[in-house]
Amino acid sequence: MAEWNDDETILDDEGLLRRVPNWPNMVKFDQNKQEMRPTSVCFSGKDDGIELSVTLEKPHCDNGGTYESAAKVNGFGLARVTAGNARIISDPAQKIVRNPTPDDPHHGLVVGRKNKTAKRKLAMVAELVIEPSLEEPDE
Amino acid sequence: MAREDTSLSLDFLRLSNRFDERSADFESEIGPQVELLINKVEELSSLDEGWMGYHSAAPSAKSIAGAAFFITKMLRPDIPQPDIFPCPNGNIQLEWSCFDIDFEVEIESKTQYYVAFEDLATGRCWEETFTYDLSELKQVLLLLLERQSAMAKGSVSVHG
Repeated sequence: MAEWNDDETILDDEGLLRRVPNWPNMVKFDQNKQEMRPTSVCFSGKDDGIELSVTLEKPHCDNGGTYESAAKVNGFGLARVTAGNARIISDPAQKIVRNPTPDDPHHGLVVGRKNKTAKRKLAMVAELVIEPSLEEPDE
Repeated sequence: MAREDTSLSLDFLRLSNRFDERSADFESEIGPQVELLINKVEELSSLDEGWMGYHSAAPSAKSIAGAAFFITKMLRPDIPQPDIFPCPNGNIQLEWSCFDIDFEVEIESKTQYYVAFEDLATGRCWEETFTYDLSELKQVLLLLLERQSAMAKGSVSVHG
């Protein structure tokens, strides 16, 4: 894992946007919260989510981006967690860093080991700002 | 890479479970609910590599067989139904978020389970790996059942 330093210019109340695939279904109705939310699986990925890709909401929206453009793919959903929650929700604390890529100049990473509890808690505090379309794609 | 055919193992589980039904105290009956869950697991076997972006693995034959095994052996028709999701590492995850309980069972195989549990009513929270002895998971399922029954009798309130 590369060495990363937490970027304190990404403030705790800023949003981190994580794409939610629409096929297979990756959201569920959480009866405890009485709302739809993404599964914790959405906060995993390559390397078990150690370097979790997100779009940084503030620079993305300040530069004319929308939630829909952050979702990128028609039908995909979008989950939002605050940087503050992402930092404190797991032990070890996560680092939030800027990591621009050719296809996302406002790409960021949530860096750090995430056990199952950390991913579960991220999913529980995530706000589903766009619900994915749950229609199965055509063959 | 060629995918291992899991249909035989799923059919075998269905068959062997029918023989088990009368002798087991907790092993599930193959009711329509359990059949539905196994069908959901089977659907996931159609996912290809890269289904959740690059580096995401298709559900493995071991995880599919493990999920079907867990469902047939551990779930009774009266237990609340889990949501079922594929994981990008090739495992399959069953989730319950109801009756003040948040419970996740990530299945790698019939003998490898990564589990996270939180009781929102009491604050009790744990995370553990299980192999052959699933009795603690059975206890959580019974707790779900107990909360569901109490709820039906109107003696507890659901969180949220």
